[in-house]
Amino acid sequence: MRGSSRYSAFVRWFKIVLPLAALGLMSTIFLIDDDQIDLDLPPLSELSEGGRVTQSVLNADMSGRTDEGEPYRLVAESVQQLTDGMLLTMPRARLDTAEQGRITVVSQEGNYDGATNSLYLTEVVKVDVEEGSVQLRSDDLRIGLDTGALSILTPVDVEFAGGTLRADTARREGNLPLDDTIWFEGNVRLFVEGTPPHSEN
Amino acid sequence: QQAQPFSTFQHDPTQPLEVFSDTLGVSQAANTAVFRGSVEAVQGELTLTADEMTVTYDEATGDVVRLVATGDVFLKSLLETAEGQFADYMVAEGTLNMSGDAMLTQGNNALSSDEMRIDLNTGSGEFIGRVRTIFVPTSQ
Repeated sequence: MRGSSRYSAFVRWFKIVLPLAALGLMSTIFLIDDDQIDLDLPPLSELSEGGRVTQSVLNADMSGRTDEGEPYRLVAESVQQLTDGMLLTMPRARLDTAEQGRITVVSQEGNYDGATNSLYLTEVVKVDVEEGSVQLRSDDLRIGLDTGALSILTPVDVEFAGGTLRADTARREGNLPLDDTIWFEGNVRLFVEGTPPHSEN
Repeated sequence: QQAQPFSTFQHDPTQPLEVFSDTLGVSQAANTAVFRGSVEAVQGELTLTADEMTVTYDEATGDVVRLVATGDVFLKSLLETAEGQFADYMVAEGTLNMSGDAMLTQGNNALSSDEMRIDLNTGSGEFIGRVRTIFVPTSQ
């Protein structure tokens, strides 16, 4: 186990795949509060106070910079304003981070709940992190946008350079930064390729 | 002819590593990954099983620096089994310390002591503390 570069991938993925913690970063993109989306756009400006909303913004395209100055972009086929939240169809979010490179999050549907300030992505959720070629696949993903709480209730597949991780579910309690632990639960299986003989250092 | 004790405990990084467990907790802040519940780590001919295994890594390089296993820890090779309640593997040095009713079994023979130290690079080892040996004479 000593010094083998491929073996250190065993944990390097922890350092890199930890960008799952970056999922929390992604939450900055989804901070779709009033001042992020221009509510004065024609279709939305005529919303009746508290009424059932049917109008939506088509081909929403929003970009900006996070508090850390990292550029992000969020596009969705449609963003439908709900009484206390938003329904996004085919949301695609992209964040260019200094440490992990480009992170992209894609799903068929996204439901932003203003009451709990959480985002629920469903149906083929894909998270790709450039650094370490990390790819996470699941069928649901819920993020607490201000608490950092995270839960995946469907099987999780994570692939990274030189290995894979599988588990039935994943979660993180919402008390960042005290506890940033992401728990993968149920039939956890980590696989890391061996180190080719010549590349031992 | 029995193999030299510990000689089959040699680590082969060219082999893939697989770890199975009930849960895995990954913390970037603590630089740790904690495998819990029926933990089994297999690499080549070495298998480590335990109740819990905590991997600590170097923040800068991401390399494994230490691996601590607790609770019914067994390190098995094809011919030998080292067991104890606690195992501490310092990766850079390549040394694995086992304690808590440490015992090494090879076929029908067994050696036990307070603590055992195994060098996974050379396949050598030493017992620390009072050593008890059980040799089962082979039939004449």
